[in-house]
Amino acid sequence: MHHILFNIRYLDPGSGSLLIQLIAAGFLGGAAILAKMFWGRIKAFFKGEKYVPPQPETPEEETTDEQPK
Amino acid sequence: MSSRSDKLGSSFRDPSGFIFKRDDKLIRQVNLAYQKEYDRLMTGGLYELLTGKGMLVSHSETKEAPAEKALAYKVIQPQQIPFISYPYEWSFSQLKDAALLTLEVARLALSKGMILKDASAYNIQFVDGKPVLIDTLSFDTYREGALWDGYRQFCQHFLAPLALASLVDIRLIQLLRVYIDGIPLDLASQLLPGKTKVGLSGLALHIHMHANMQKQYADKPETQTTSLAMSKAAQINMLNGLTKTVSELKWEPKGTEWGEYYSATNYSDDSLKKKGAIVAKMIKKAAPKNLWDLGANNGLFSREGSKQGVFTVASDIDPVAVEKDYLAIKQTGEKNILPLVLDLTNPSAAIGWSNRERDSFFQRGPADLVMALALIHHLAISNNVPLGSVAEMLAAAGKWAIVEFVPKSDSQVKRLLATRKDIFPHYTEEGLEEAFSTWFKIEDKEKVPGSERTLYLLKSK
Repeated sequence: MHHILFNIRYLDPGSGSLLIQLIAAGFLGGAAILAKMFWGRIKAFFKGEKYVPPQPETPEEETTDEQPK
Repeated sequence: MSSRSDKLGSSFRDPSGFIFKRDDKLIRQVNLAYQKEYDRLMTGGLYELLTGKGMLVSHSETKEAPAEKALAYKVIQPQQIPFISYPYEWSFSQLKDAALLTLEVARLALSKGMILKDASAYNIQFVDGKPVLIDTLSFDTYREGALWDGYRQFCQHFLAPLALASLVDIRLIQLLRVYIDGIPLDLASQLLPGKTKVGLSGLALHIHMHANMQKQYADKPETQTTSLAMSKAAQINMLNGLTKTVSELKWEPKGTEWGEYYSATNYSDDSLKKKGAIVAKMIKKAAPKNLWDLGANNGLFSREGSKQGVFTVASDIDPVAVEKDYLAIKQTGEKNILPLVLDLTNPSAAIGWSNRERDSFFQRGPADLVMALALIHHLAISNNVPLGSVAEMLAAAGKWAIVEFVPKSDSQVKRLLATRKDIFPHYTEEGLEEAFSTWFKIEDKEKVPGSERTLYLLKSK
């Protein structure tokens, strides 16, 4: 049943569109949100580290249909 | 078990499931790939919340056999929509209300740990004057930091056409007929007035900057953006911003040729009432389940059907008349009536992939009864359509027809003939009866008191 296990994200959100969302959220909610979002990146930049995106706070519920090995 | 060909031509993009037709009913298969999300929708409170507010089509799980068994998790029977309409057939406020519904659904989904994964205008339909989301499988599990995948689609399907209609010209909604995935933002950006580019307004951001950013990132690999994240609060903020931008877009129809039709005709109030009574009587005799009122203007006579509980599509070429009709329905909460913008001389065609994604207007019929009141003179005289061809069209549209004949001596027809040569020797009552006799049998014929007009009730042969 390999064919049922593809990524469920079917719509291409578009890279440019994703970036605009960050700006939209930042503009409309004040600079604080924007700064918060980029803070990890800024910190990583000054420390010369590779930026690691935040992990989901709540783990996904247990998966029953593991990808066949 | 049904074959693959039963699958609707529009239902192929999302692997979560699809719609298929069986025994004239539309049924949805939910695929195993969507099992977790479907269960979350049903048990996490979102389904109840949205259906309770009338924002999402309700459904029941059924024992129907799936159309593709190997993929199937469940088969559901959604509440049937009386008539599927498309955004290029909506008036300004219909499109706007559909946009606002989409944003509200997106917010409510976030409140229940889910996210609206797309924002297609084709996922919205109108039932009893209200927009409703018909795609039960539009929800994904919300993951902390997620951005909104439907954002680009929202801007193309809703924001761009609304902005163009509001700030440039209402007819630009028709661009949706050409661009099935919504108006390209670079095109919208070019067409919108320069003042919308200034400052940090919603349109400056969501259309102009958005278009620029798309261009800039068009050939960049996706990996550059895969690490982007935003908080849920930020996403709600963005949705609120979009809601504000959409809400501020207004379109106030000025009196067009049709918008003020009934006050400009020589119909007296009494004559209109009598015409309404004859139409009501004829509808009763045809006893239809559904009715198409073509050239309905603001739906004055469509109400003779909808008031009898007959589901009525009230179409007109004039976006002003349709807008007025929709706003009246919204205000009074009338049921059984759907106003649509439709140019009968060039009705909605079948479009999209294999010409099978969106049905043509006539593919969505025939209706039990079609009405052409004070319409035929426009088709025959303004558009040179032979009466036989009008009859053929009506026979394709409905099993019964109510037709009004307006003679050349009527002031409305005189007005049409004033600016052109009369090349219509067959445009007479006899000519009409002769032309229609190929397709219809006359069941009833009545003069409209106080006018020179005649109403016919016709049954297709």
